[in-house]
Order: sequence, then structure tokens, then C-alpha cells
Amino acid sequence: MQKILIAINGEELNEQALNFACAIARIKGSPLTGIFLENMVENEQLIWKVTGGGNYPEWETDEHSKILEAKAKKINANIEKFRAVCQANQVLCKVHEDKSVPSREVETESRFADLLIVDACMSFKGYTGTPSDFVQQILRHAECPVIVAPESFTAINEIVFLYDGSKNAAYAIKQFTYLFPELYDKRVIVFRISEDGIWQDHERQQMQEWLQQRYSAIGFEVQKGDVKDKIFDYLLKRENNIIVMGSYGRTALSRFFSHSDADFVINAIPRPLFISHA
Amino acid sequence: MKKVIAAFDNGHYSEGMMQFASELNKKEPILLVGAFLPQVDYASLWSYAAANIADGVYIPLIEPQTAEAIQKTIDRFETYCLKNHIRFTVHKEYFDFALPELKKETTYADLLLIGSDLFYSQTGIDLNDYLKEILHHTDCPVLIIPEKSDFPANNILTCDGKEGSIYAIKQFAYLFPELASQPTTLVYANPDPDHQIPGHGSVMELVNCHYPRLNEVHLDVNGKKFFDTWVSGIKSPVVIAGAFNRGDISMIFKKSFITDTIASHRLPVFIAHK
Repeated sequence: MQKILIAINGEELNEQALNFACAIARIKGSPLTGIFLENMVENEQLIWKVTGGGNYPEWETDEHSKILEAKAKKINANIEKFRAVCQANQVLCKVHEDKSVPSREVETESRFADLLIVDACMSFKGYTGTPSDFVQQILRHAECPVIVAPESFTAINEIVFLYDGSKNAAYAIKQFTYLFPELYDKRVIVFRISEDGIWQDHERQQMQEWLQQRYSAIGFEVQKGDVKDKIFDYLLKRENNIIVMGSYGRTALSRFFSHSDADFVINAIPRPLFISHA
Repeated sequence: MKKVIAAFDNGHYSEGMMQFASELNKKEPILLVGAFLPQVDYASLWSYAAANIADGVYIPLIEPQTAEAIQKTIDRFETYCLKNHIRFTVHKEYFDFALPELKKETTYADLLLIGSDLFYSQTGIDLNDYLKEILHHTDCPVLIIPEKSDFPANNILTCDGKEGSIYAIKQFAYLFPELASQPTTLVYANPDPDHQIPGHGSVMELVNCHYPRLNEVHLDVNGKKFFDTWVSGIKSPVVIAGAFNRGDISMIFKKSFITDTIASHRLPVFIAHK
């Protein structure tokens, strides 16, 4: 059993992302914990406190304000919906309510989790892109692997490891494999992009040796050229896969893939994307 | 099937490590890669790496008697593997095998085994620094096995609630789900008897997912003697630890309790860090 989290904006529940998270929880036979996030800091107001020693300003939240009451009502309704969707998917569920700075809360929760699932557009400031600023921050700082949920999902029949020869990419492949031993019978493709279109034999053999202990059908594809073009051309023709990537490291160690490549995959290719970095 | 690297230094054969590998193989077949390092001992091995890894070209000279000792160790390794039905390979360029090569090898390995009593008797070397130095040069978790130890029957998770220790606890469970189901104790050391692990509820929720037979022990300022005695009563333990951070306020406390006990009881240690 593993601890799987889904980060949810308490006021806006994305049902597609939740259904995807339920599918992952079912593969793992694990419960799903919904982290309901509320940005309480944005509700704080500067209030003058009057005391015997003098007046001073303090940031406070008025929990009885109409805005907050409406917010709480919405969050409770979404929690109920979360429970109903999990039940319909036959997944046990738990709820954590975190009221502070959402990104910080998720980072802390991720330390004590095996996997975190997020919706690519999740934001607390309106639309800030795909992936949103919030999701980019999570991808950079989460302490467990993250899956960015796709807009629609049917099944996982194939695993595509995007490999650039970096330690981060190798690390992501290992972590994915440890977390999903259940997918051992799925087709695996290692998609390598290098500057010269060549894959050194020794490096490839080492990876192949390791993968062969875990998977039964493994294919290798190496291409040169523009990273985004090649990824797009290759992945768009394929269906029902999960993409595994190791970029988004906290340090700029990645050799070939960059944050923007991961952002591009999230934005342009409607597949689940697993990101884990060393 | 796990890919496990067994590291031998300077022709020193480790019976304890091979027995461990054999027991591991019985639980789930492994591929054992023999890595035969020509360095004199572990202390110089890691310091050599720190000094020269940037150059990446210096390979220590091997005396003829060392080469002979390495060859004998390889022969013993192969014989043991064949006899115990362990799939194995020997790194081809073993006479050139130095730390930069070992690091590359660990990128696609699940575990690095180090079997040597030298580890437990490093004089003048801080055990934590030593562990961190090893981890700095590997891309997979490390298990250090004393020459005389039984296969683990109890897990001791050292935990301070920080990223490093939680990470090690998760990685051990991913690699050894069959061992995670054994009796497990989560040990937290803090001089204040009322002080809980930071994020206690979240820690327990996670750890319970992977280690169903879980106990919790809090060691306070009087705990050193207790921990020492308590460990003596635990049958065949393995200690799971993250790399302790420098500058950590409670570092001194952790060192005095846990690493001293590891060294004096010669306990197997599993360490992992990102």
C-alpha cells in the first residue's frame, strides 16, 4: 500500500483529474488522499488592534465574513463530491484540509507521500498557463514524484521514458519502476534525443540490463534534432501511454531536457506525465 | 529482479556480504554484479575519489600481489554465486575499476553492498561524514554489512522528520517490500522527552502504509544506555537512515546515540539520499 495524494483547489474540483487519480489508486490498490487547499493568506486583512499599551496593526482573517462563509460552503460541497467520485471508482479516500500558503502546504505533504497527482492548470490566482505557476512550483519543490493528470484518460498500455543521458532522467526511470511494479507487462519505450543522434553502446547496455530485470517488452528510439519537435512528432502518434521525465530538478543539472521541455509536454501532449528528480 | 552491486576492496573477500546476497536471492532472484576495487581500504578509497574525481583519469597503480589478490577474490565470488544459484556478472575492466566507474555503474543499479568490518572501525573518521562521503559517490542506496551478521529480521528506522530520513524510509520499502513487513521500530532522538517527531501524524501515516508491524521509540537525554541495551535485545536488526545533515542542531545528539550504537554493535546499515 502506498500513500497517494491529489492536490485540489478547495473551491474548484477538477473531476477529470480526480478520475485519473482514482485510476492510479486502483492500479496501486491504495487509498487516495485529497489535499484540499485554501489560500487563507489572501483572505487576511490588516486590522488595527486596540490595547491599553497603544494601537498596532495585525493581519487577521475574519472567519465570519460572508466571503469566507461562501468559500467554506463551496469547499465542503467539493469534499462531498470528492468522496462520491472515489466511492463510485471503488477507491478508499481520506481528506486533508490545508489552510495556509497552498504551495508550501503541498510541498510539506509531499515529503510524507509516495506520489502526488496534480491538475496542470491548478491555480489560486486565475489562469496562469499550462502548467500553471502553482504547478511549476510544485514540480520544482515536491519531495515525492508527481504525476500531472491529463485532460482525458483511458488506460496505460505503454510507458515512454524520455531520456537525455542525465542522472535526473535515470533517477526518474528508477523511481517510476519502483512505484509501479504492477505495470511490468506494459510496453516500454526509451526515447533518447542526443545532439548527434547516437547512443553510446555502454550507456545503453547498462540501462537495458536494468530494464530487462523489470519489463518484458522494451524498445529503444534515438533521434537528433529539436527536442520539442521530436518529442511532439513521436508522442502525438502514440496513444494510451504515460510519459516519464526527470527534468524539473532543483539544480540545472539536466543535460538536454529543460523545464520548458517538460512544460511543453504538459501543454501540448494530452498524456499523464510522471516527473521525479534527484 | 534487482540489480545489486557487491563492492570488494583490494582483494578483500567478504563472506558476510555474500551470505547476505544469497539470502536476498532466495527472497527474490537478483543479478549480482561484482565490483573489485583496487584501492587499499575504504578510507583511502573515498578520499582518493574526492581528490581526483574531477580529473577522472587517475587510476591507482596496482601491485602484482594486489592483482593476484583481486583475481583470487573474483574466483571465490564466482564459485560462491554458482554454488548458490545467484545470477552474476563481473565488471570486465576490473583492474581499472575505480570510483568514477563505480558511480556510473550505480546509476543503473538498485543497491550497492559494501561488506567490510573496516567501516565499523574507522579511526579518526566521523561515521556520519563517512556515510555521506560514500553516498556522494553513488547514485543508488547503499547497504553496509558487517562480516558477522544475520539476515535482517527487524527494521530500525531512524527518523528526524526531515527530508533525508523520510526519503531513506521510503526507498527501503520500495526496494525490500518483503523486509518492510517484518517488525519495525521507528526511533526518534530528542533530548526533550515531550518533543515529538516534526509532522508526527504525517510520518506515522506514511510509515504505517509500508511497515505494518510498527513500533515507536523516543530516545530522550537518558536514552543512550537504553538504546544500547534495547538494540542488544533486537534479533538481527538493520538500521535504515538518511544522510544526516551538517549544521543540524540535533546532529550531535543523533551522533552520540545512533552512530555510536551502529559502530559498537556492528549493525547493518541501509542509507539512501537523493
